[in-house]
Amino acid sequence: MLQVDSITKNFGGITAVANVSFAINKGEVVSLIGPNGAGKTTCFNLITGFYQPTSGRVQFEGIDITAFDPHRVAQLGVVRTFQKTNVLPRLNVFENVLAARHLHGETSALRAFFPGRAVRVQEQRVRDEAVDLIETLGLSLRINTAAESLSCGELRLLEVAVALSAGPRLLMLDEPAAGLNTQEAEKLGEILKRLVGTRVDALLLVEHNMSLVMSVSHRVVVLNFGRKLMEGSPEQVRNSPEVIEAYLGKPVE
Amino acid sequence: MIFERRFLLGALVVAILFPLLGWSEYVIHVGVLIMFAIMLATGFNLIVGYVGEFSLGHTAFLGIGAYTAALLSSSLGMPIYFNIVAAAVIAAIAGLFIGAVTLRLRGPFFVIVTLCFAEVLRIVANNWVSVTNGPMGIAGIVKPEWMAQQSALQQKVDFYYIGLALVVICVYFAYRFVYSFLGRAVVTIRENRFVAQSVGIWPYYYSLLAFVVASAMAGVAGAFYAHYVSYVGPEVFGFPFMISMIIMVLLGGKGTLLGPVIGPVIVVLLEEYLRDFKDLRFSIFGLVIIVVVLFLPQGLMGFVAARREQYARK
Repeated sequence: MLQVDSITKNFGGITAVANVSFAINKGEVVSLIGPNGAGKTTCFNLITGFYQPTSGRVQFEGIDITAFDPHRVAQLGVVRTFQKTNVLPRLNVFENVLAARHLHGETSALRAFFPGRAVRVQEQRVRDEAVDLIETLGLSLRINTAAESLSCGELRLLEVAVALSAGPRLLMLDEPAAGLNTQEAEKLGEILKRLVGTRVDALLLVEHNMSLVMSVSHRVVVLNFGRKLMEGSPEQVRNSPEVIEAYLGKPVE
Repeated sequence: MIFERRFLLGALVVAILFPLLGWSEYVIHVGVLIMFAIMLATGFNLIVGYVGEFSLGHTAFLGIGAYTAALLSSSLGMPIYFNIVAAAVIAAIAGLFIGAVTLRLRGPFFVIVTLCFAEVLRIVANNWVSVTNGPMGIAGIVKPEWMAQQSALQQKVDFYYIGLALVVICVYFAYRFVYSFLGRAVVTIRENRFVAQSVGIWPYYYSLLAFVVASAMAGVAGAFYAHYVSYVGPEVFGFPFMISMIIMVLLGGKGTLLGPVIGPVIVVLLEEYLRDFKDLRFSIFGLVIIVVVLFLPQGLMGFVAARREQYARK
């Protein structure tokens, strides 16, 4: 599905991402891990068009999306969340999810000004879909609560709901479990596992919570200082001396 | 949404009945000014309140509309209805061009460049004597023929109703804009531009659309103004119009549909009351802005009538 070919990003003299390649296949959950500053979020920004890579290519379903604007990447079905503030804080849960349903509703400006029955039917359908999604993620009780007054756990769920509402084929989540306790993270892991194959075709995850990463991923890509350190199954990564060294440092000799 | 609709319909009934109470010419004149101001503020609010960018150059479109109507009327003798439509179209086209340039910028840069456009147009109007007659302006814009036999009071009442009809059209368009996917998209952009992009909303396109609609409304207001006072000079591009637009929208409540209807009523009445204070008027307006920004940041209607959506299963 997604093919990342040796992308590089320089900020002035700093190379944030150097020559990173990986691929995601349909039906897969891939995690991108690495210590802080390894270039995980930069990778996200490069794939979704928020940054332009200095060199390298990104392909989605055979289409070269390297130079695409973010909204066009989203229109193709690649939707990402942000590490912080992935919601519209002053709007309520329903409005958040509905706003993200943009691509699936009416898109003719003329019909917005002169609506007919068809427009109203479509509007009701979009609203129903938004509510279904809110119910699926267990946020029904908070449907009219402003996003800024949700608890941390509910906020993370809303972030996932907003991204899902856009109807992605590849969903990219940037630290969806940040600030969650163990139980909440497990619950989130269950939800994520169920998503693949039902609501989305594939999932790319950036996460620091290792038990979540290990339990949901089919493959793990490890970044360190902007370079790809290794790629493999969760077991391979867990037992790799290089990865342990990147996180914990070398033993003193 | 329902509250807003009821309020607007109620206001419409009051506005229709108002001239029947036998007011003096002056009172009706103030009513006409209020209609003019509501058109301007409703359009301006789409940019300031919903897209969330602060334009200081909205008078550009007011002026373009006013000059379009003035030129069509004085040189080609076109009637008021045609001129109003033409002014809307020309102002919308100008909005498309100016918006296409300025909306690439954000925050203070957008403010400055929009202001520059209005200022450039003012200087052009002032110096392009062969077309605009320079600082002398264009006088003698004709009123509709059927008004010729009427008393001054009846003429003003006619203009009041023409203005009211235009206000209804503008507010309808604003209402549809806000309560459709367009309003949802621009509010998403206003609240979080990155999230908007990540769910497939193209910020530039929807901001530009709002900008064009707002420009057309300002153009309509300009044409209406030109025919009403039957004179247009370079001051239609001037900053005083901009200041009153800002006060009206901020006082009424930006990002609400009712704000730009309530705001103009209060501000126009204040402007008339404060005529006795002459130049002090502007200082008093300055103080009003400061008080509103400090103590009523959401405006008078901000608490009751911001864009809200609730779910009802059918």
